[in-house]
Amino acid sequence: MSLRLVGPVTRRQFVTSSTAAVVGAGFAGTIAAAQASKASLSGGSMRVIIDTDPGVDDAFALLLAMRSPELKIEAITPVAGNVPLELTLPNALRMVEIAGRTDIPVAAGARTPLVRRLVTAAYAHGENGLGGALFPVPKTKPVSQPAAELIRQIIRKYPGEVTLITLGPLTNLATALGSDSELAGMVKGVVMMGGSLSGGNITPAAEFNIYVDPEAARMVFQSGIPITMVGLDVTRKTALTDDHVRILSAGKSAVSQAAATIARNAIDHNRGQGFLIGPNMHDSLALTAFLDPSILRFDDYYVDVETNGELTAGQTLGYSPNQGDLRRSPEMQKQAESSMVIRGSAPTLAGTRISPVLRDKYVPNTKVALDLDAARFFNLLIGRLSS
Amino acid sequence: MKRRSLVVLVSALLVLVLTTQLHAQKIKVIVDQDARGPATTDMQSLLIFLQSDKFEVLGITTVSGDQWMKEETQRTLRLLEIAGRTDVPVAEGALFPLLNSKEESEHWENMYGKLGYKGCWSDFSKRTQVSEAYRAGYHDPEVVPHLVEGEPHIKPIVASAAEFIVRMVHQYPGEVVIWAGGPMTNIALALRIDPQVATLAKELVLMGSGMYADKGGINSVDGRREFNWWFDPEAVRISMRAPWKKITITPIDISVKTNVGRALHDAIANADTPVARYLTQFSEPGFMWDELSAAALIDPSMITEQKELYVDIDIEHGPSYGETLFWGPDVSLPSYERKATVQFDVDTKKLYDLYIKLMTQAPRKR
Repeated sequence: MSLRLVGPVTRRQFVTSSTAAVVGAGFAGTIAAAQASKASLSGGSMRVIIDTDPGVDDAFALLLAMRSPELKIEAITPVAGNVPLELTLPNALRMVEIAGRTDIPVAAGARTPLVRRLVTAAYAHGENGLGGALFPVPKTKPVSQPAAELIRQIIRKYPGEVTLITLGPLTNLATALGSDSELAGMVKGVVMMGGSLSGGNITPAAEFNIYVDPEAARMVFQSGIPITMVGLDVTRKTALTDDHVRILSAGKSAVSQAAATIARNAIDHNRGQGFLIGPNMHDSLALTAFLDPSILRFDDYYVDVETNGELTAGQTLGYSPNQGDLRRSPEMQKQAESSMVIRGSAPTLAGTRISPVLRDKYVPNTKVALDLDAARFFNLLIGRLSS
Repeated sequence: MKRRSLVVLVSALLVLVLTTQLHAQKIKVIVDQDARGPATTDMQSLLIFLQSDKFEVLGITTVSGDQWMKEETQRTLRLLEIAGRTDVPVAEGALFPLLNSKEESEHWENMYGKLGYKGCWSDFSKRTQVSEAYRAGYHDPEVVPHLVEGEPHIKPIVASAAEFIVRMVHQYPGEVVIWAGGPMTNIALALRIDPQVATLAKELVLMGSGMYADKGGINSVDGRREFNWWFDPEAVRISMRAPWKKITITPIDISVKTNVGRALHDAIANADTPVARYLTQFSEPGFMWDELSAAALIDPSMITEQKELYVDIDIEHGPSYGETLFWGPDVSLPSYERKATVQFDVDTKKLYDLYIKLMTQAPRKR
């Protein structure tokens, strides 16, 4: 019988089929390289949607984004995470008002993760999500469209142009992807604050965003969209200090003052909890990976997400031919790459698997940030916020 | 005014009031279906909604299950053309279930034996004694094979199925029946976009799950492994724990008491309408899985036995992944477990009579 293709084969198929190796080479195609050429201020040409759960570091990242003229922020989509949606939504609206950017549509996102109960991080972000810093009730309203719908609409309007900057659990993106099988092929890329290849924060295994909704995270990592992962491997090194607060307080703008207020409250909150250093600026660093990737060093990995673990759900596993105890000669390195298999846990006698091999080919799907120039990062962050 | 004119006027007013009342009593329904075609229980249930004047079909939303969503959408669009109901919008839904996959099902089969039916993950090309439409081999999700019933000219709408469901329950709060004849993926996505879907909808009515049946499950004797629920268990878990006002379930148990047999086929073959010709040409004998669920909305009296049960699903990815869980109504359970009205027996004469009547009538305009 004659067959006809209705549309392009989804990226998900590419990742699951063994022909993926051929196509995969094009994917690890580098958001980083593409942006390096656009890193200079080019007048609002880089379309982004910012998915966020403000959250102290989310709030900073939002302010930084709205102070970055090279970005064209198509939408801000709050999600439940650090604190419930009832707080992340108005917090996002507050930031938009402070920055004088009420032209940006804010759309309410998911209240709960896909299949898990919501676990929040008020212990880190304060009960109101902003370290206890108080701002007026926002006058701006969110748009009537739910976040997943707006994400879908914008990506379809600008296929191949929109980068999703995800700063919270991935529930909104996973919902949008699940509802529209062609969407993944239209997303330019995802730059995510999340995960870690070197241990977690909320548990020893998992970083908070992936911990909250591991199933959503897996859907995103398996979607075929090129991903830049900025996780705890680098964000651990971005602690806010009193010096930063001082510079922000001296800044004249509403943004600078607001950032100073949040920073002061967050640092005090941290001290109150007994920590020796201020909160880390996780989300701002993720945004920076998009604004100026030269500030970080990346390496290619095939990343997947543990969803089964009793203790480890939410852990991001990074597979690479470079891992392991022994080093290879350069000539053998290429060969290792092409013959590497992706292994999961040893099968149990009662389980449904009989082999630990999950995939027969190594196809990198993620650029993972492994190192950063912290001084340059804070120059950019504090510089833009206080100017 | 002359007395006669007055009588005419009052009669006219009465007729006007009665017809608007009748119109106002139409059940607003979103028909979510894994619309494998041509004919099949999936399409035949769509025809019940399209042919009966009891329903205002707000839209049809397609989901992968019995077939892949893209093929199903084309077959649904073609069905609407045949039935003269191109006024009904079709919204494309989820191409993949939330977490389950063909690969995972194959791993499961290695341990626990081949499943008799896996919908779009099956390969039926070796079957004998069924028509070409039922002998499809496996094909990839994006592929739409040639349609024996004809290629459609109309297109689906731009909104996704989940978006459409959210929009409709907000547009008609308290009025919309969400009818699910296939896996629950679109319903679950709609709930995650907007949890108010459960409280704004009038009712959730679904064909799925199985309790005590010893046939009809996807590995024959286990009636608790029913196809729709097994295909996307996480979607069922999300849907079945949402705070719907009412849930009505047509399980395997009642479906296997029905039969689309020779007599029904012949009764329909006598009619000369596009719908009757379509059914006569492509329909195969089988259980009335989804038709029963749709017909019961028209005439609830055909259900002769039903029980209130708590119903949920196992989503552990082990040997019982996708199996129905159920408890009696008096068991003390956490508040997230939902009671459903589960149908167990049917007056088949009422069902078949209604079915023949609807399938042999001329198509209705909305």
